[in-house]
Amino acid sequence: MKKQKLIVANWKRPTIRETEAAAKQVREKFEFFDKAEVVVCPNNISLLETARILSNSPVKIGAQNVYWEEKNPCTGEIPPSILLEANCRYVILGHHERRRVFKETDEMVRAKLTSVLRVRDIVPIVCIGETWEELKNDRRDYVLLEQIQNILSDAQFNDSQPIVVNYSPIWAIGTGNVIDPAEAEYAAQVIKINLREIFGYKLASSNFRVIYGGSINSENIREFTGLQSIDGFLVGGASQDPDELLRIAEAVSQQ
Amino acid sequence: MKKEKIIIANWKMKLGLAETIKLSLEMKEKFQYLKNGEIVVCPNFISLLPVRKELQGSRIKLGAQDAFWEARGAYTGEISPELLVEAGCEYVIIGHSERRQYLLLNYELIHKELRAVLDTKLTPILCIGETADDKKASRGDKVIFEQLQQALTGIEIIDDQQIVIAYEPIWAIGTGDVITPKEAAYAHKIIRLTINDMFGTHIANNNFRIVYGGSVSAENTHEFLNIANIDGLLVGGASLKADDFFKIAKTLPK
Repeated sequence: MKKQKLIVANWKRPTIRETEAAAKQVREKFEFFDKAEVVVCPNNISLLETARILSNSPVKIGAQNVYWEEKNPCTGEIPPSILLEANCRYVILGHHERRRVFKETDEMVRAKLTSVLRVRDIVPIVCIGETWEELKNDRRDYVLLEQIQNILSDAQFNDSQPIVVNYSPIWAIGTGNVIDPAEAEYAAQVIKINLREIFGYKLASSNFRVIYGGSINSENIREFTGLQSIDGFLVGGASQDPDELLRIAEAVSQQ
Repeated sequence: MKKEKIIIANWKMKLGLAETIKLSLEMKEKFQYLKNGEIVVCPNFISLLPVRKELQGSRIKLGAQDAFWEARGAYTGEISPELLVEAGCEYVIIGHSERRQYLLLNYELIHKELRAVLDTKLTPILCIGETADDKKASRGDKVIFEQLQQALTGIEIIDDQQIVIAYEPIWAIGTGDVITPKEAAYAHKIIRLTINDMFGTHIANNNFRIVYGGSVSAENTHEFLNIANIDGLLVGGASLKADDFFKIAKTLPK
């Protein structure tokens, strides 16, 4: 089966008003869009309103983070069950900004993954990627292997539960440093080989999609769309402009 | 100036969205005729806007459970104080013990959160309190003092900017260990003296309220509310039922 490409818009946190305006534009612009799967991830405060605006749209809703526990509460956090109630279909896990600022570890990301897979109807987007130092010291393959092992190796999921692995080289996020497309393809291949090792060929190809994220915009997207091992894109800054998001989505689906 | 007592409901993540809305409506109904005291509810982030809508026309105020320390910049998954203001919040809990425990939040970061919050018109509810180990080693006083120092040093209190300090002894939360009114009175006195020392009595009296949090229930509320230096309560579990929370609020001195 050939899976549709996935485009995840990480809106981070513009204001509530900006988010609503963007959601309305996305609803119009993507009204009949069926050439790729598009997900927008607004801030938590804007989640319900964005879901309401996009309720009859092909565009789906994702969250930017989740907490790993349902039972022991943690003030300020949101568990998977509440995301589900808010009609979230995707959730980003272990974004590098959270790893850096909140010292989120692979262990924490794994716990989040476990709790998300338990609720079934939310697709996790697991972020991995190497730092500049790791790249320069030729340790990328090893770092990717280690992150996949730490986070995914004992994941429990059924045949119909998709998982997305997002390769975001940390040195290419929000920096304007764009990765050489051949490098991105290579890293995606490394990820897929590791997934096959852990889950076997069948699950690795039917349940997993590997996407790329890092300074993607409508200018550079065409260099990446032809790559064989990349099943979609996580778009940060550029995705906040609905026109730009549409240009990216169209470029992706023309392949 | 005699400040109004304050009762804060922290709903944590114990309620789904529909449950949150239902509870908000029940609270609005119950609290219609309660005239004294300031009442704040803190739902999860996703429920903030609908709760604000439900509480319109009520004197119950809206608070959030956390805020991030940077106003701008890209931080996936975080909510800035500016967003909270836009969402209609007047209060925000900072540095809750669960976040210190599970998410490794420390007072260096809490200090940053506090600064970011004070740049807006939000009133921070700064949480402090010692662990069971601290208590066993008799260093509760020192821990409280240090937490206040770390969080508040270098903070300038301007005009009528309000700050709420919430004292939550971690050893008394969900452990079955109950704090005695005498112990609570003692801790609150330490807090009051520390703030007096840091900001002078004028600001300490006018700009700070100190509330008690930790296994507060309708049964034990009156014991705490009559203690000098206790200006209100931060209520967890007992705030999840409108009846219980109303009973607590009713014990506020007129």
